[in-house]
Amino acid sequence: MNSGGEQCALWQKDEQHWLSLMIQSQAGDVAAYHQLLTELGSVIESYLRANFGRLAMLEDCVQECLLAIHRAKHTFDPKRDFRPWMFTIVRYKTIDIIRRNETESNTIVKLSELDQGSINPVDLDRIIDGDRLMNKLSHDQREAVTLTKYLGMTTNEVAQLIGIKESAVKARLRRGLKNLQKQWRYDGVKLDD
Amino acid sequence: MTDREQFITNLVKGTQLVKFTNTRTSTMIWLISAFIFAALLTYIAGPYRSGIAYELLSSFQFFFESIIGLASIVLLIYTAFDFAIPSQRSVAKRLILPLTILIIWIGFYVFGLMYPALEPAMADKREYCYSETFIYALPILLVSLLWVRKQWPLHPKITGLLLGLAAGSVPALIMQFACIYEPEHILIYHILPGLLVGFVGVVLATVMLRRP
Repeated sequence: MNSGGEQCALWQKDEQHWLSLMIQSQAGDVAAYHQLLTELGSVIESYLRANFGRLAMLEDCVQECLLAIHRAKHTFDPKRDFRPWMFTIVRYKTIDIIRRNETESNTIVKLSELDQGSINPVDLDRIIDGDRLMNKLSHDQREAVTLTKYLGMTTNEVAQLIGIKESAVKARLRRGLKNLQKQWRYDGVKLDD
Repeated sequence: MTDREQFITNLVKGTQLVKFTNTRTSTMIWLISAFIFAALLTYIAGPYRSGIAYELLSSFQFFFESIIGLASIVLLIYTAFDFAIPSQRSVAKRLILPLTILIIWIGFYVFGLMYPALEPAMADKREYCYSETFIYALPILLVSLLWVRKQWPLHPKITGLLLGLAAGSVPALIMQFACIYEPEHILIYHILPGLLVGFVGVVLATVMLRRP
């Protein structure tokens, strides 16, 4: 068998394997779903490396893609192929993430241009250092803020995902945002309430 | 345990049975509900044209253009629901058939300007057929958008356009049986408001169908 044929056979094998895991996942099989997401995580990582090169926040991208697959699980038609469905989600999700990052970068550039007179660049970098701010939050608060504000999940979805009450998620989110606001104020950023 | 493993463990927690809703089933349910809804409202607002059954059976052109109208609606809504499911199939290729059939349907009435299927008559004219067409389509469009929102629409504007065109075409088609048969009147007062719902669909989709 030539290499093209081998590749084709390998793809076919993967396709059947993932299709079967996905059908089991849709039927509520936790182990099959765990295995599927674990395997897809590696595949998505390789795909992103191959197609987008040295992508910043690669792990975030992989996790967002996995979350997208999780949320779109009900749209998979078991009579269709799995690969095109999965890679379409991954491709669009990655493009959205790249666009979002570009928009954020542009906003930061505009912000820095606007504030050039009042704040020196070093201070501005310090202020907009999101990671540093997020690290000031407790693990629970950071999780609630990340899942809702970064990944766009609803509080109900977050509650289901981490297995707590929705009211608890709301409380963590409220406290987290309040802490972030407090930190921003401390850093000298004026916020509109 | 790495971050990703932890993340996956959290995701799979509480995995439940998920049922995929077939596009054909969705199309069927939509067609039946939309036609019943629009036909009932039309009937409540005013009677259907007298002798409509006879006209359908006696004029092949009228029967055929009505069938093409129905086929156009079926294809538009099927494609709209299909767009709500991630797929690598070409967007343009998927759009060709429903839009072609829609154009053919409209073409029948343009052709009817010279060779009408039925003898044009003013009997049983409805006072507000244009606004009826537009208004009856809006709830259908809204429900369709809410339905599609639960899926995974990767092209919100195209999906909104198709949903709007399908929703607008239902009362537009029903008006051929409830209002007068006069191709120019049909094009301006039935088809045009129906097509306008397509643009409403695009506008609403930009708000309601943001890519997940």
